[in-house]
Amino acid sequence: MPSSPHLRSPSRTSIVAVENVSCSYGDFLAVDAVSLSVEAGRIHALLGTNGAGKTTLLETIQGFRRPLSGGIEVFGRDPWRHRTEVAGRTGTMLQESGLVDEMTVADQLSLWRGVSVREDSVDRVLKLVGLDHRRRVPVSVLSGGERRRLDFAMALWGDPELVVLDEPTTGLDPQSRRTMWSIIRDLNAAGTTVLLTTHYLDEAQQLADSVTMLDQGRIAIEGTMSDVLAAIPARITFDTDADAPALAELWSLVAGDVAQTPAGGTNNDPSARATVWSITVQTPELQDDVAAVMDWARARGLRLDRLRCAPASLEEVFFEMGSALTTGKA
Amino acid sequence: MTTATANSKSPSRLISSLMFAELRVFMRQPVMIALTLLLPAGLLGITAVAEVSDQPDVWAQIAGRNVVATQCITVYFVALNTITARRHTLALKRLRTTALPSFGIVAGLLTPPLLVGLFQVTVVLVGLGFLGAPMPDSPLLVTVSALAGMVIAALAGVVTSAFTANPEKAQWTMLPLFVAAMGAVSILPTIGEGMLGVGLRLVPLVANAHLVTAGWIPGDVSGATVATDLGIMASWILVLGVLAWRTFRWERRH
Repeated sequence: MPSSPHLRSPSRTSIVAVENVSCSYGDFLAVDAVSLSVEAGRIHALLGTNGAGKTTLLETIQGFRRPLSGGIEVFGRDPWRHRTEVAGRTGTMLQESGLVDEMTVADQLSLWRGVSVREDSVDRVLKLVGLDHRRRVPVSVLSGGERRRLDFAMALWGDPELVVLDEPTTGLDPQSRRTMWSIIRDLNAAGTTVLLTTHYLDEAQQLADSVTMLDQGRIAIEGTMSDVLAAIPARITFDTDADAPALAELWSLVAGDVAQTPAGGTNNDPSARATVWSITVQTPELQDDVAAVMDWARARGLRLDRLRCAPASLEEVFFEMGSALTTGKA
Repeated sequence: MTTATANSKSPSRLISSLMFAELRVFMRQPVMIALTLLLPAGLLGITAVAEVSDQPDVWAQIAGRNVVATQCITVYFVALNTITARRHTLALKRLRTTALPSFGIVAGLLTPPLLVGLFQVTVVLVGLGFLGAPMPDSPLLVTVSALAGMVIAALAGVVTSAFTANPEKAQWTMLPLFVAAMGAVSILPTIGEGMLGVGLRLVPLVANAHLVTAGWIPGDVSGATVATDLGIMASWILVLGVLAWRTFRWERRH
């Protein structure tokens, strides 16, 4: 059994501390020297493509697998050696629901009441996930989304200190997905720490305070959500029929890079002098450059169609990272 | 925000909760109720129609064979099927996310086949008495043999489940042990106590049947026979226990 080295300066409020952990399946290294920390009361998202090592890392954190090397502490304990102790304080939702088909929904939760060290009521958790009207239905006839919600209810049983969710909203309809987000936010507001994996980058961006992006078992990007998003410039986009001198002036006013491309059409007014341009300003100074663009347009009486300004999305970061890794820049 | 409260439960309380839940699930399945009631009824019915005898030796052999039939069909097959099904649906892995100890999860899942097996063995042996069988000369040997056989059958079910991908395949993977044990038990009385007889007793559960038979027949049972059978049983419990520990998988097999 590998030793559990004393973790280097883990934060006092760190619920999950992973230090230089590697995991393998035979010769295949699924997780390669990953370190991360999940602070108490935060939501941390593990992101990555299929096979990036998210679930392997998550299961190692839960004590299902022994790491090849490195150390993990959850609540200050080695989860491999103290699995039951860690599990008693953790609510878990697996990537696939592990339900007993012969049971009814209420039976499944009654079983959970019996085997959980935390107390709760079946009625409360069923109402929480919107399954109270399905309590007498056999698990075998639940839809995929309802199974996920029942699984979620089991993870929430007894208000655990840490909730681990492996792709929690996969297979859910948009409304159920939003409802689950809302419940996760409420849990987090009440002090619960959440560690989740997801394929949905918008979900991570909506929920997470911090992220770790894995690529082929290694950390590609990590940090707080704002830091990660700041890695890619924000964008201001709009369509305008400004003439060339006006556009040249815009270039000198903003701090970011300006790109102009034909918008794919011309003004309907045959007397109009200009082609419509799609302008994209990529800027590290979103607020200042928005003000500069608006001042520029107002001074010239220009209308900015399809105006949009936003920081980079996690999706843009993800794909930027992907192309950087593919071309060997990272 | 919630009415949830923290509480501390002992591992034994958690395990007993799982045992009761599994028992409830078992008893709600019509096919399992049928198995529970019809197997002993069928075994006793066959005996009543075709095997009633005034020979104590014959009753002893019937008792040994019926005990092993119950252990093979109920304890072994239901244990194999339950563990395989729970693994296949990931319920095993899900239970591992709780504070239940790993051993407790397996013990909880094995509770229904063990209890139902115990019920059936009791019904079969008492039923033989009603059909005219003499009382066993050594109830202790019969009891020890029957209980050890349940443990062997349950462990064999756990080991076989490690090589069984889903419940459908359990119908095939159970066959080697089932055929070997029932075949050996059926021909053992005609073989006698020679080398071949001892060899047959090495098949799992056959030593149990032999000891039930030996404990049923009036007269002293030789110490060597008891020691040999008990040694074989203990060896199987040890070997299957180690194999179950080493081969057990929580993840679904593909």
